[in-house]
Amino acid sequence: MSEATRTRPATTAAAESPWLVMAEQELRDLWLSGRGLAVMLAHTTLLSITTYLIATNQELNFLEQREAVALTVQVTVAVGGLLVVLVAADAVSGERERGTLETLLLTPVPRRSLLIGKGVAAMSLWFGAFLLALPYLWWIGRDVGTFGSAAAGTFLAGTLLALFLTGVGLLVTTFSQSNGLSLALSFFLLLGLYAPHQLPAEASRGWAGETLLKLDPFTSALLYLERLVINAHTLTQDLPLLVVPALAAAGILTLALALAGRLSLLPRSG
Amino acid sequence: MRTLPARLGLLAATLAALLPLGFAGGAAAQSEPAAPAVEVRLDQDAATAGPGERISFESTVTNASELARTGLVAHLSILTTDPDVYVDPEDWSAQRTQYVDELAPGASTTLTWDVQAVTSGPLVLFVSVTGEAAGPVASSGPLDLTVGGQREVDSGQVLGLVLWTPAGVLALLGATLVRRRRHR
Amino acid sequence: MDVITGGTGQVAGGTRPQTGPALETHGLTRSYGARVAVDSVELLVERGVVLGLLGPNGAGKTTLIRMLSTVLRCDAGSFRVAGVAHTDPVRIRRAVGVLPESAGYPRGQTCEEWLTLHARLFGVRRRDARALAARLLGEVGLEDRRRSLIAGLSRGMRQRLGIARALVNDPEVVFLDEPTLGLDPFGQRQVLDLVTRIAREHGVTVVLSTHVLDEVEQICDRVVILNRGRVVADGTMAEVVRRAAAPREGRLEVPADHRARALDTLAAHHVPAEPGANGHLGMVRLELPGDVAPEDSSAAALRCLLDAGVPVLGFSVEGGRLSDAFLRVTRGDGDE
Ligand SMILES: Nc1ncnc2c1ncn2[C@@H]1O[C@H](COP(=O)(O)OP(=O)(O)O)[C@@H](O)[C@H]1O
Ligand SMILES: [Mg+2]
Repeated sequence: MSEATRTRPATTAAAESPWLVMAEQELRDLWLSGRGLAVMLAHTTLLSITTYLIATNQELNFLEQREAVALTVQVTVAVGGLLVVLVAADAVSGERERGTLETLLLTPVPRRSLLIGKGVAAMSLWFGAFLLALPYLWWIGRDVGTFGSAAAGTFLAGTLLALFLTGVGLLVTTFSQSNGLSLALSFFLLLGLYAPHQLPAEASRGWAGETLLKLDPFTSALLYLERLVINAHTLTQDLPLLVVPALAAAGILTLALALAGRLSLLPRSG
Repeated sequence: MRTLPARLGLLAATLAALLPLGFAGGAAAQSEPAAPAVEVRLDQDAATAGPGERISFESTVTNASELARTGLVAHLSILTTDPDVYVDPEDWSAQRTQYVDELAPGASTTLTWDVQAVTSGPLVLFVSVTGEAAGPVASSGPLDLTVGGQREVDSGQVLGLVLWTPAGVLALLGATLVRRRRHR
Repeated sequence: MDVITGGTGQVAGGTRPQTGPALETHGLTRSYGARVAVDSVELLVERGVVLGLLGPNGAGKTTLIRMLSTVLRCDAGSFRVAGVAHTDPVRIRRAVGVLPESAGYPRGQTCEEWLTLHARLFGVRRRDARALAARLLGEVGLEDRRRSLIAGLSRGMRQRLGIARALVNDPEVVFLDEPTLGLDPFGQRQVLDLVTRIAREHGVTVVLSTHVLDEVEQICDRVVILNRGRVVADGTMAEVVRRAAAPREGRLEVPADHRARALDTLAAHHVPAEPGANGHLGMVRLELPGDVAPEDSSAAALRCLLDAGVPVLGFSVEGGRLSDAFLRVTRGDGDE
């Protein structure tokens, strides 16, 4: 029986939370590599184009200012949601495909912490998209006094949607055979959830149609924002509309984290 | 607001029914016009606003008769004198009809009107009041509202925003890439 | 085998007693669908050993290492790594360091950043982690690449970085899965030197998976040969070669006019022999049994020739190398 003793670096005692360590690295990877800023550049360019058209084009200018604010809000939520879902959908399947998943699984960190760290990074893109939309929201809405409520409401509803999409992406990526599949699946899920909101009003008539629409977190959240910005409702007036997005976000994140233990090197078998 | 057109229709019908009476009355009272039972006065007669701005003004409704009045209806009209300008009053104000339940003889009440200037142009706003019965319609004097031209595109300002925000992001991106390059 | 004891009680921040063998498996099995990749593997590896895990492509080396390092579940069987039972994967992960087969590296991170991250994921605090990263980079000869992006490293450098990463938790057992795959001879040399040095300086048990037999002959104390998921040979180099009973080839040179008599004499003593090739009239090739030490078998053959008065100009023995044993026990199986 060998009884050799050896020294090792101080570990365990008062160690940092692994999800924080993971999140820190993921945020560095995302923002210091320039990837995050590149998509933010695309986002602000898009907002600049719409804002310039709103400001200079007679036709668009006839768009009531509140509608212009609502348009900016929608663009921000859509772009932010798209970025969040794509980054979350890359979280596991991307590492698997790049061959870097195994070293992460070799650490004693719970799988759940890995997912949380990556989810935080995905969420940061939404916060970036939101922050950069603020100057535009202020400029377009400065005469109609909507800035405060539009900003607060966008933050609230958009964050719920972003959390929901983070859950969707993480769930899909954990079990996808390939990264391409994960990205495509998440993207089409996003489109599917966004589409009902764009349906003509007639389609949403009737009890069944309305219920169905309200069960789509996107439709509810966008309706909330529409009423807030266009109809000048208060922040709390339509809060019930945010119940579905909030429940959807909580539900899917819980599911994704509950199934995190099934995360494995090979997508199907452990 | 489904009832609003109905009410307007009722109002129009009432006005139409009153028309011959008015003419007759006018002819009969040529020497001594009947004192209007109700008077309406606006707190201002001219205002200016930029497009998209909200303005607010008050009308005072006074019961100049000896009798208590009930069921008075006050209505805000918005029209333009420029035939090239299109005005849809519904865009301008969500509430253009207000009711006065009861007004004692000699008493007065103040109604507040909120309007958002949607289109530019010369506009006339006035408030008319009538009772439930086929009584006379009292109108306020006009409020001349001048809505300035389409917002001058403050190109400096909007360009500042639409150029400087992406430029700021671009600068950050450049700084990051330069920093990264040093690690090669 | 009294070395099998309970888990190692790890004392936080200080010392840890090492109990039990480095590796122990019982009936370890894993299939992919209908394909059995690792089949009832029994192993017992003492501490401090450098073990060569050999086998043709598809033999199950990677699958075995992945199971032992807890990133793949096993279908059946049990194992202990560094005294920790397989039912406690987190503690096993704390005790092992792995260089995975054809591992990927985050191209956008610097060497230091990546090592620091992994040290922190093992619970080392940030500042200690950075110091540790610097030390390990020095150890693998990448000190001047600390702040380089991994994307800019050569393959050999990346492998050495991967080995440094496998050491961030000061492991008791290190698994290296084909660490020299795709490296040029110089890169291979560097990696092998590094492995030898680490085994010596860190006093760790090393499991080196490879199908390059030279490597194993150079640095391993012990070899295990896997074929189609089964252990087909296990022991020291000499044991494996002997047990594989790979025949050796003796090359005899006699004066040309003595060759016929040499062949007759060898045949009379039941030593299989035939005229040598190359048109050289004095060459004789003889087959020596693999299960007898070569010095004994060749001495017997030479003695009978000398006794018969055949002059011997030269004699050499070929074979008896690991590669012969390997080919014999695997019979050229493999995916490719
Ligand atoms: N992910 C997988 N899915 C299906 N079969 C696999 C998988 N990985 C390995 N195999 C099969 O299992 C066997 C063992 O493979 P592996 O452990 O990679 O062998 P080695 O590392 O010795 O080359 C091979 O036949 C291989 O084809
Ligand atoms: Mg392999």
